[in-house]
Amino acid sequence: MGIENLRIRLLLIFTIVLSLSFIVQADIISMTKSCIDSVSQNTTERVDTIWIDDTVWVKDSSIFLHPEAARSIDSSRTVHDSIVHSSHDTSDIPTFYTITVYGKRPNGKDESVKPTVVRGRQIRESSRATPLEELSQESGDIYVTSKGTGLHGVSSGASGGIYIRGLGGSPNSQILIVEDGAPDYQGIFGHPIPDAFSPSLIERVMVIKGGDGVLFGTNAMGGVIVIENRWPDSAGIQLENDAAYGSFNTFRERAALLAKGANTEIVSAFSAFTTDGHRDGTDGNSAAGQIGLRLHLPGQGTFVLRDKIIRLEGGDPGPFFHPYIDHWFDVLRNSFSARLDYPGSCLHITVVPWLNIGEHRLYDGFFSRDYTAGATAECSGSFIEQKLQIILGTAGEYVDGLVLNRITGVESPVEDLSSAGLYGQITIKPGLALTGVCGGRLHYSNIYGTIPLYKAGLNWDPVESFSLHTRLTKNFRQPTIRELYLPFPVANPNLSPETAINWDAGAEMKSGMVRISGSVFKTWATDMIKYFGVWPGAEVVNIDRLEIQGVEGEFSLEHIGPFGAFITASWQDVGRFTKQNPDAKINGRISYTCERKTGRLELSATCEWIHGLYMNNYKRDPLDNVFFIDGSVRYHTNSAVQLEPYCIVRNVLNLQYQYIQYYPMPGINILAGITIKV
Amino acid sequence: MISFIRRQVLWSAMALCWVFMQSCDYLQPEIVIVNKTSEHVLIKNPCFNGCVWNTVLSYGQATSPRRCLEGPGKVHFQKLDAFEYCREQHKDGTIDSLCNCDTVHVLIDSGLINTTPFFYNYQTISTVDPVGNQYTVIELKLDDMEQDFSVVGPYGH
Repeated sequence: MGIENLRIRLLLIFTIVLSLSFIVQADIISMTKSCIDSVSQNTTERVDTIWIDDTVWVKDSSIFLHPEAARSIDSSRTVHDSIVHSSHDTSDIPTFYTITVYGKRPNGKDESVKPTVVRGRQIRESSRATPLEELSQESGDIYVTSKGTGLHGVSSGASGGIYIRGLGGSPNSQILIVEDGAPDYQGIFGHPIPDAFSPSLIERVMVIKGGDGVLFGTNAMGGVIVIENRWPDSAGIQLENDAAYGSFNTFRERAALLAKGANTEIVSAFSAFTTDGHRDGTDGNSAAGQIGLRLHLPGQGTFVLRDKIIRLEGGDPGPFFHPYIDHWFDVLRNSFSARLDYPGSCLHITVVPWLNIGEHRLYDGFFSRDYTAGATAECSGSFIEQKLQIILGTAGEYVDGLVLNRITGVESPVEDLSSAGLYGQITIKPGLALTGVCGGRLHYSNIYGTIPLYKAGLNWDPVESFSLHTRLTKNFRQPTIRELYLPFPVANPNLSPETAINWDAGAEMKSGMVRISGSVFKTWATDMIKYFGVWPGAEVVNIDRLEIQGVEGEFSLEHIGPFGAFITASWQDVGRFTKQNPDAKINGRISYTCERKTGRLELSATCEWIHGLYMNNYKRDPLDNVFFIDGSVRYHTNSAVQLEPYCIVRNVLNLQYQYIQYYPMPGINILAGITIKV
Repeated sequence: MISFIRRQVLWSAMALCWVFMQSCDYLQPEIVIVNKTSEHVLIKNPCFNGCVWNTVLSYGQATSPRRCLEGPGKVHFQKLDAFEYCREQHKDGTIDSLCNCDTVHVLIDSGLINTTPFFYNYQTISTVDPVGNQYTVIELKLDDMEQDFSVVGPYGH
């Protein structure tokens, strides 16, 4: 599978990077010292350095001194809970302050949604093995399965099932991943590839729970994961490189290059991962390359081109008592998208065409090539002093593919799926801190005809620190090509599309350093597509009705001195369909931050506890509760060339647990590396 | 001087990380499986707690030591009784004689004869629970095995 070659290349990169880091280390220390010296020589000068998120670096004492000004910057950059670090020189030795700036949580296009927002930097620095697992770490009602040290895989034995409030999972076709406005999923199987979630260029990720079929169409049923990629925030060239090595001969390399010119911005990233795995059959590797180009057009318009290519090699390790060592997969995918933004005087026009192509090869001769192409065109505008905002759009999509057995040469007949939609959304702000959102979509499918979708939501902020919200959406998912035509393990061309009505209501309170939020949710779903039995007696059918209900909440305490704490929990009742849909989940994090003259030391411990996990429906095959603790230590240097050595210890208590029956997770393991930002 | 000290601290920290990394791997138990069944029984592809040895063990032979997952588990393997195979083949008339056994030829429908030796799935009855960095030798014995029907279908994604 070429693992040896890749490993050698990674080892070379790792060695080079480490060598470079030591070469520049002395320079950095001297640069830091000279910076401190220059401050201490002039005691009247104030040097205020503000980081907002990881994208803005402002040197302006007035902003530092005026919280409202900082808030306005924060809000305009749609960054929440930013941290302002200041080096304020009042003596020979500068002292450091930490000030919390409170901003509004970004809502995306629908202001009645309270999404979970995870910053790109947090994903890149996460102690969890994959970016999807970091999303799970941040929200109690997001559950992601795992099987090892960093690869989810595809086909049988894959993990990376994403469950949001009881929907999604195996497969992930009820969860839609949208990257810079373009949906990213495998055409034939209709679900995103978990390992294609490459964090190198991510600015932030928003998880819209409850879905949004009106704005996103099919598959946006249980939730939408909206990925926004980053662009350089200042002129010049920025280079980031993260290289790590760990237990089980695991190498991880992520490099990103961001360049900004007068009218052009270029971003590119390369990431690679390889591991021997913690047991036979869990070895694998992945490599991903991304490139993006943004052109600034006359009249503040922008035109963006993006391309991402990813290669995955690995295997299904099988149950631990019968490991497989030859159940391999080989995936090659490319996704391309363009985006035209034209902010006119009263209307903002956005056009996004995309094309995804992928090839999947499996050990048993399976071969597929899938194509997903589509486009959305949207215009939005604000009227009556921003009290009325209207979005109108249209979208079209085409999915087709080829499936054959390379051993027998038999090709499985598939038919293409195409759909189109017209949608609209109105946001009304009548005053009294009320925001109402309603929308509708007419979705046309070449198989199922016209399907109406709708949504309505309300958000009320009676005081600045307290808000109430509720939302009702009707979403749907059309059956995938696999479910309709492919005998893996069985097909049913007479399937109907799934529909779900999702409702939630909740409250959020922020006071000083404390934030508390909670929601109740309920789903009424019909015609859910479920597989029953095993081959050759398996069947895939629509089931009549399904109800899911639950509650979720978050509590965070940030910047209590050097300490911070965060806990999120969820409880849900998913009825009879309990397969990989846990009853309760808790995630927590405790962090300690210590400011030093030359940098910042961060220690954190995270944990996950999952209860009521079953391997099958009707509460059959119960699994033991999942519980583990991860720890990490990271040091950020305050210098022009930032060095960030870090060490992550996963499963500190060396506990035995498993998300998937007979696929035990690794014991205590370590990943250590260094990030360099130039 | 400060720079030198910092560099030494960094080196030390990295060395410590490296040691921890290696020690994590060594926390797993080391397992060896020995065929102690019978002189005419072959053991193929024994598995234990995430490890599989792609080999065939004749009587007395052992696998190479490998680090496997912690926790209780049974050894799963495939078994071929060579004597039983020969006896069946002799009964089917595909071989003339079997050691000192009866040499009477019996006419058998050749369509029912399968000359391919077939390994059947077996597992140990007893459970082994190696912990920590334990070196464990597991001996497979005839009175400690049963047919294995635990091979599950793959977890579909």
